[in-house]
Amino acid sequence: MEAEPPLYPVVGAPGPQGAEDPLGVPDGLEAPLDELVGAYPNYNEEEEERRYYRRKRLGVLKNVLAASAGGALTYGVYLGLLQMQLILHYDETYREVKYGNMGLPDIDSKMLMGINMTPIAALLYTPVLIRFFGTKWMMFLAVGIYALFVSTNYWERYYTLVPAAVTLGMAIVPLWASMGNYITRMAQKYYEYVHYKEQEEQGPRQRPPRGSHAPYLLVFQAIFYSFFHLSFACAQLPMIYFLNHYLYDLNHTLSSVKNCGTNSHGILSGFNKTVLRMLPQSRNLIVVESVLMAVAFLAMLLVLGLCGAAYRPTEEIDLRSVGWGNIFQLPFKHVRDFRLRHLVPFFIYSGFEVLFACTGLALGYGVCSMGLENLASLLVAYSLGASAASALGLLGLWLPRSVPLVAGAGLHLLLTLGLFFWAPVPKSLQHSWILYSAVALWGVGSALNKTGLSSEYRMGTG
Amino acid sequence: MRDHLELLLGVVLVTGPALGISPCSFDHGVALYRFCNLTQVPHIPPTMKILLLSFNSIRTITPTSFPFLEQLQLLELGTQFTPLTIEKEAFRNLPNLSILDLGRSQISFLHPDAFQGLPHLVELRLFYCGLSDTVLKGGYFRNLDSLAHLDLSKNQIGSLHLHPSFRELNALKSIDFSLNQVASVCERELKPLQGKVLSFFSLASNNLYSRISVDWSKCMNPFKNMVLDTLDVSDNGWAVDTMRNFSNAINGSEIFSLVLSHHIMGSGFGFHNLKDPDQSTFAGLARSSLIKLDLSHGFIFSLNVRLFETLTELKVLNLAHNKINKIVEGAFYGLDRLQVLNLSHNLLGELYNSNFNGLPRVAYVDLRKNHIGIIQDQTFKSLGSLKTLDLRDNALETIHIIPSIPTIYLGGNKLVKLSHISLVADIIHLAENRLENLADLYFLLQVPHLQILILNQNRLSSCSPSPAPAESLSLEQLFLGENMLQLAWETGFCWDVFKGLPHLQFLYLNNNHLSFLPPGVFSGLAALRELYLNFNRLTSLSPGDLPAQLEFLDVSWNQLLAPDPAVFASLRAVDLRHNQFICACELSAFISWLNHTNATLRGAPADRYCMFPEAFAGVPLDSISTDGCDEEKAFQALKWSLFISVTVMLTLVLVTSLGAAKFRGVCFMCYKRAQRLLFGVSPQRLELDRYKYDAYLCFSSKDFEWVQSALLVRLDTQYSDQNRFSLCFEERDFVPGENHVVNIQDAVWSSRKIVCLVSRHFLRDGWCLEAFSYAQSRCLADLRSALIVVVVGSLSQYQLMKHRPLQGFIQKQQYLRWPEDMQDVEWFLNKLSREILKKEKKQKRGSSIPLQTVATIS
Repeated sequence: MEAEPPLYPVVGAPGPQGAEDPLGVPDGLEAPLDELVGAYPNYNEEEEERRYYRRKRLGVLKNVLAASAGGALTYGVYLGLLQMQLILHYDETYREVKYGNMGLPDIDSKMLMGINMTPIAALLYTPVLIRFFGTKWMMFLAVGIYALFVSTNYWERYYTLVPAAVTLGMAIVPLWASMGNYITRMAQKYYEYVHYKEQEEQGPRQRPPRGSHAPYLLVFQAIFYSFFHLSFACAQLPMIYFLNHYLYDLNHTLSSVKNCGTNSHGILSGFNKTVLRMLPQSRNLIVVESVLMAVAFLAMLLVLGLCGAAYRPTEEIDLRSVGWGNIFQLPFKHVRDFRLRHLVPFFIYSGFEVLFACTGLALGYGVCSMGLENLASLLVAYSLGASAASALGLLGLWLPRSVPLVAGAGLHLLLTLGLFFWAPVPKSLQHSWILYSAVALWGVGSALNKTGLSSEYRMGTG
Repeated sequence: MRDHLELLLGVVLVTGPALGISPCSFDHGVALYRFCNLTQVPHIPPTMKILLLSFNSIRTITPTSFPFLEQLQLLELGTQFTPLTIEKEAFRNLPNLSILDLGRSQISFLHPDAFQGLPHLVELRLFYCGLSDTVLKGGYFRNLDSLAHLDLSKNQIGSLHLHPSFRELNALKSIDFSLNQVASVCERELKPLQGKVLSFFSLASNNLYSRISVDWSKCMNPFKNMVLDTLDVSDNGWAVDTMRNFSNAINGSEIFSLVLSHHIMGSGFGFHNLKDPDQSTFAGLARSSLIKLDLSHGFIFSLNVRLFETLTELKVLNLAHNKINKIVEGAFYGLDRLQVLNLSHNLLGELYNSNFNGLPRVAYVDLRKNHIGIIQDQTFKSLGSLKTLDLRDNALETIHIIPSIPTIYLGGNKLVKLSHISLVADIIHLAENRLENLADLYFLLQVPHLQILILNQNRLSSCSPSPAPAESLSLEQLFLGENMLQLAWETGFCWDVFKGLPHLQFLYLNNNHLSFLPPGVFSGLAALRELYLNFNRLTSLSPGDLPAQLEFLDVSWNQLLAPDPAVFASLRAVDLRHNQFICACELSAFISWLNHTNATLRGAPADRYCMFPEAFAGVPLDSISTDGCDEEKAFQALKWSLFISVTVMLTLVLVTSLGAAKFRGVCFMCYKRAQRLLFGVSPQRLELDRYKYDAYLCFSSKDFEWVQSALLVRLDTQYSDQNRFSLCFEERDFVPGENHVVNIQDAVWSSRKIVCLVSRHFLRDGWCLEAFSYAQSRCLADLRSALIVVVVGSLSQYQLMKHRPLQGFIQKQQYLRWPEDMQDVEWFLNKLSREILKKEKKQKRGSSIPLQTVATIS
């Protein structure tokens, strides 16, 4: 039904700028008191217009911040929960005592498969979902699904975890696609609100020149990625405040680990099967899960309440005019663009470098030499490094856009080479500063890579 | 009598300390004085029955050494640390003595009348006393009418010239001369024993007949006219010739059991200088009615033809521990009554068809510890009465030659795979082989009449895809310990291996590395009573795992962490030692079961201990308190309810938010339709009142197209019968030719409400603004708001404020905005309709009659 052409052409000549924000500025409330009383002779239209657009711009900024914070909280809760549960489930004793004959490792592997495999199919339905729900509501729905996943961890059974994981897997791509779309759209709107004068002169129907919103996009993406990378730090909070009290120290967990880093075969071979000094009580688990649940719910409310709509209903008609048949081709449309084709290796690399940071680097080097109790601080270092370095994405304002991308890759290459020749001593805290700086530097590289890649991509697809 | 006393002695020795008799004291008829450094007999009350004085330093026994002990039956004086002198009638004061033990005492002087006055002495032990021939020649044992057992072993007796008084010892049953130095025994030396029936006569380890050459024609038959149950002449270094001579010499004496172990007959392995026994070696025993012949521990390499031909009465033949490698055809001819044949610990490498010919009644053949690697097909066919075949510890690789006999021992061979022959047996022992595939187990389970199957220490670990389910109605015991069933079961196959065993009572699955039990694997075992799962790696047991009739379960040495007590509810006994119990609240149900169960718990409570957490490691379970664990259940319920409520809440929030965002238009339409259906409110014409029109729509003529499609079609009665308003608008209702201002004024005053559709065109259209002014002035005149402003398009506040006529209204009054989302149009129109109707009703309800008056005047 949305596909029909507009029944009512918009009356008059609506400017591209509109009062579309239902939660934004209610009419007449901000008007100063003296203006309410009687007529006012010297009505300064210019001033009012400026104020109006300033409010609009602030609204856009608020949207960006809310969306970034919501995404970061959601992802942080999800990662934190997953990390905590995987460590708990890794412990043989915990597994056997709490879930004797439930086959928890099997469930965990199925769950991870559900989370990681389902997104492959997401190319097919993501445009359909975004088209049907709209950008903001897709974001809200996906964040809600993350929250549902968190809630199933109250009752860990096969029939709760696996369906929740599959659903979560289905929501991952739409979430980040709509999130990216939202940020891009906000940059476009910000550009429009800044250049309202030119808009009026050029004529309302005129689209802004392609790529004109690039500087704003860079800034917004820097904001977004700062928040996003903070989510890795948020994810460590359950470990820092809860799980670390229950963990054995490195002398126990690493007792049979012989080699680390480049010398080791596989990740953490010989790691002790038991890592828990004592089993966490149900009471504490419930408290931790409830806190996570509350944060996930808060993220939902953030997206629901503070994120304005990305498009006005009349604008979204543009998107809707894409036919249902063509919409399946939408993800592949970009492949026709040769510039974007060059980015494909970077996309793959971008996925694997985070994977490497979280497993190879953090586990194979970090945990292997410093023990599981230091995993949280290592990942916090990564997160803070990445979050701070997301600001480096702003370099794109002055330098060619490809510079951050190449710089990130180069940094990673150097680090990889360095790590390739280094095998930290197991059960030793001597080299902790090297590890912390390596992890933080890797975070810097990640941030450069992410910001560079997404700005390239968003510019490419416009 | 003797047996009873030995039993008594044994009981005393073992339980002495347990009875509470402290050393060097007496109690309950027993005087215990071992290791008491005594130099003479202590004073004990006359009620003593047993006096134990070994390991002391008593030098002399005189008739006055002992007080009168009428009830004393056992006196132990052996192993004195100093040489012992025994005077005349030394034991006179012990008239009822039955057993006198002087063994291992260095007797420096023994008076010939030392044992006089002991009419009831049954057993006299004089082993290792350093006695010489004189003890036999001197008549020391005169008048011992009851003496039955005389032990003179390990002395220094050189010849057996017996004192004639031996003839009077009518009760004599056994004499032991082993480990002396008797070089030869001849007929005249043992003359006093002629005519006696002895149950045991030992001449073992004396180098008898082997150090000196014996003239057998002079020596004659030493056992002439004697009947011996057991004659022990082992370990005398007899070669074949000595044996032949001896057997010829004792020709005619009845000997039922001849012990000839540790001989040197036979050539041995790798030598040819000594002869193997032959047909003539045992020929002299033909008339001895020999029933049992022990030829073990020798060097026989070859069993020659007709070796035992003359021993027709023989029932038990022991050839163990020889070097037998060759069994000549016909070696056993003549052994028509032989029942037990022991060939264990020999060097047999293969068995031929002819090996066991001539043994029609053999029931038990022991072939253990040979090196048999191959057996000819018909080997056991001639053994018609064979019941038990022991082939343990050989080198067999196939079993196709095994006959169908009740008991088959095949343990310790090299069987890797069983050939599936038709076999009938009661007991099959296949432990310590190399069986790998469970298909062999399925085959064995189908052996008819099988009652006991022993498969310990194999390598059962693989499972053929789908063997036929095994069924055995007879099997009662199944030993599968020390295999690798875990490997077979973890592939997911062979879970039905115990399905068809309804009479199985004992099942051993210990040491199988089991880390799980396949669901329902024991479900077919309706009669199972005892199940052994010890030494596995089980971490948990489910209640459905065990069969219902089970009485005893052994799960010791597993890794049970927090077992469910419901598993053990129906058991009578259970062994739970050495598991890895986790002393957390999850274990509280188990601990309370442990403390209150009626079932027998095998093993010490200290062996059921915690392994985790570290603070509790090694603490026995029965000392763990489970207070404060009740809340765990409440937490489970809390978790469940939290899960449900949070999930439901999230789903509701999601559904309602998305519903409100995407389907509010549909919902509103449904709501309206439902309202119409329920309350029957149909759009009806409003009753006519003083107004000609319900509303005057004021808009720019450039917007007409839009207004028509958006508003007029939905609201105006002339456009559709469904609509309820009669609207006034310029294009239709203004009188042509009339002054436009008049038209506007008419329209304003003859309509109940004025609806201004403020768009960009409206703001630029002077007439529209004029009409707006009139409407505002009517509002002022009426003192009620007849003006409804609808802002259409993206006009923001500041853009409206620009226009002076609108400024006041915009600031003070509420105005409507045309919805941007199409789904809200319906709802907006509804709202607009209510706005058009609203004030009228208020007026009817209301208080302001004066306003009516004003209206009339105008």
